[in-house]
Amino acid sequence: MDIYSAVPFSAWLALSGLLFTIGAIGFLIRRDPIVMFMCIELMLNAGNLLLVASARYRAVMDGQIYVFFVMTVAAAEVAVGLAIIVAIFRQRLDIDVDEMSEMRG
Amino acid sequence: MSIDLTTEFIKQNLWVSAPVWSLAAAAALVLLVGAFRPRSTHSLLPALGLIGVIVSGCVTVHASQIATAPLGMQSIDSFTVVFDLIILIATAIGIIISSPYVNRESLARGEYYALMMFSSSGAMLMGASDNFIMMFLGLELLSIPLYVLSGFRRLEGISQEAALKYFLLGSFASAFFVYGTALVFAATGTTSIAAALAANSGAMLTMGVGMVLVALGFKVALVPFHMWTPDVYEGAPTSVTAFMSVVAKAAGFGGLARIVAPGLSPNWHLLLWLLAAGTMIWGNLIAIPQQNIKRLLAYSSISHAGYILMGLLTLSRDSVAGVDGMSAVLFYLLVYTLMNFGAFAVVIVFAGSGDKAEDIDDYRGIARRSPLLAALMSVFLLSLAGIPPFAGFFGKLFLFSAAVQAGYPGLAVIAVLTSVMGVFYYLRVTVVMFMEEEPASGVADKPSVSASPTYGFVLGALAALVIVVGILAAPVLNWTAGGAESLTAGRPAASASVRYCALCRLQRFISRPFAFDCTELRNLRYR
Amino acid sequence: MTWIPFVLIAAVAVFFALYLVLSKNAVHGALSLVLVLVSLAIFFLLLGAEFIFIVQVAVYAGAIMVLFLFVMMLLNVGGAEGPLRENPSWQLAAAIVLGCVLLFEAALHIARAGEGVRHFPQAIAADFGSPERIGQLLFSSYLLPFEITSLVLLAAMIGAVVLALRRFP
Repeated sequence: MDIYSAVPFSAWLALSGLLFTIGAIGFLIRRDPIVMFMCIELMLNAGNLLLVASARYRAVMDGQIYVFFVMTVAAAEVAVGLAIIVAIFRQRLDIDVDEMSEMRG
Repeated sequence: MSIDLTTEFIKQNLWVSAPVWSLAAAAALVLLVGAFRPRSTHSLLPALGLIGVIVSGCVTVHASQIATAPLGMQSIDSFTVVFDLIILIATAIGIIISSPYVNRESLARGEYYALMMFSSSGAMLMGASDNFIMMFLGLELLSIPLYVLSGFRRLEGISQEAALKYFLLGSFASAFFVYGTALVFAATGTTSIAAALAANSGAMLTMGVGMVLVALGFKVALVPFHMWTPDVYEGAPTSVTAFMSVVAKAAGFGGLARIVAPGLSPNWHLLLWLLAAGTMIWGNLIAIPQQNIKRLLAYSSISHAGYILMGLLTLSRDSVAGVDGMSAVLFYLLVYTLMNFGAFAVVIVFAGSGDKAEDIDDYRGIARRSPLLAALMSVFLLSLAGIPPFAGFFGKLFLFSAAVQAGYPGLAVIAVLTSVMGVFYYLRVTVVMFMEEEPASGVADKPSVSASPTYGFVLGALAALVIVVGILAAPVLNWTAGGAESLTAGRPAASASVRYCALCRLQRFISRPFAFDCTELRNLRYR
Repeated sequence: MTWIPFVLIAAVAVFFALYLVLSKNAVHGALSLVLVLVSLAIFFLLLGAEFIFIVQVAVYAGAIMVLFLFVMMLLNVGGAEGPLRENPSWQLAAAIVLGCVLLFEAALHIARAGEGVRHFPQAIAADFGSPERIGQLLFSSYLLPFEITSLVLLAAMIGAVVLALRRFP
């Protein structure tokens, strides 16, 4: 399949930009911490798509290596993030960010 | 392509990364001892951690004399050494301050110190990285332990809230970092910082660098990316707050220095200018009405980020201004470490078991009961405010003069005005402590505040250092100037001797016992 | 005609990304994120990143998303939640501003797509993206970062264990 001659690099850029935007907006408008966290994963994946596409576009492997590291770190973040959410949930059985009101100001 | 795993290659790699792995190895050791020793020996852990920090410092200095070949990932130039030593000093103070606090709040575990040291090794990595991938890993190695540490008081909702808030916003910023560096890679085809920024290609590179700046702006809490700061600082255990306010900030600025130093496109100078001005103004303005001492110090730390960013901005100019500015930044980071840790240590002592008394109202008339503690707190606060003869004054002075010299007089004026604003809220705490009466109802049942021997020692030492570094600013500044030099190595430079003189002459001039003479100030030619 | 696979998969990715952001049910959101990840994995394969493709499917869409779903099941969340914040706050304002900026950027790239200068190079090394090449890079130029990931993972592991302990022994 000769996808390279038909789809220019800009299309990949635009797609990853769109996915990143959706993720960022989702992070800002949602209030369930787990969903906010999944939006962050979406943003990271948009970055990965851009890295892989530009690695092919530049014919340099470094982009793919970067993706490998991003995935490793994402796994670490998920472990810690979900542990925080579980700890909170045990404490108050309610993980709605807006209702956290011990601190204001 | 063949894998070149020769002994020489591995040796070089080991030495270049020696500061990071030596501290991480010490952290792992603390962790293991904490896991396998009986609980009664837990007081050994901070001592072990301290030894690890000292060894790591020695390894850093030694490695800098051995490792020369740049591997393109991480460099161990003189900037790295100075920066790493500042981080290690902060880590050592952080460990000492933590140990009685975590015992009091029953958080004492090997994991606590291990995470703190892992976080510091991430900070050292950020300041040493030559490659965006390395900086990303440093950022995460710094942040992930901090997320956990801020939620360390697991049974208290406020601490967990802090952890969640810090985690979500920190990861959001990390995603910006990844996407920004992806854009930079798309535009230039390299992940090396210097090579990428040297490439001269338009909008995509600019956009990418912008997103990276946003991500690091989150870490150092620049306005408008500071929203998380007060809540996280208030909710986290106080010792973690102190650590975070110093090390995370220093790490972010180390990363920023590595990005700004190769020469940022002029498009970004205006943005950095605006960020610095906004941070100084907003941070100081919002600090004024704060009622909680930890929130007050949080906003104060935001405003200090603004001052430091102002110094960093000078790196965008020629190398002379850059060295002066950057040595002022490193000097300020060191001084900020001393005075901020001091202030937070007093907060820990005053707050008492369970961190109950953290409102400024709780400080009313406290000088009657414990005059020495109140006096020490005043030293740290006055130094943060930038009042002579404390080190904070000289730190600010060097930053301001570097900014003027680099051609940012407007920014320096804003900095001076906002420092005056800062004096107001720092002094308010002092006034509350010394001038006001203690609420009558509480006097009888309140035990007198007394610091444990550890805190007595630490507070005394920090206060002494804040004064001594102020008086002996010249040699310290010489040391930081040596670090700043390597950052601007590639630029057209003046001769080294002249460069060192610039700020030292100013310092000598000032430390002449406060005999200010305006004509001399005007005649003072930097070079 | 070679546009068609790209457009189809991209449409799937964008649709399910939007579904994640807008659906009321967190579990549905997680499942749609899995679909986004899988469609991105196909893109990775098309772009010559074999190794990344495998990792994406096995680790990301597999392990990480299973962890998400596991936590949701454990906590029994994912019920009815309003999709949007009720009160317009700074977040909403920030979302609008940020969205406009980022969308503008995406639009800019679409507009430039017609220029024709930004096509991929046709000739590329046969082993581009293969596990061998990745391994060689990881153990030569990227040896240091590779070692550092072990620290990141260790720190995360310790952190997760500490947070998950019910009480300190």
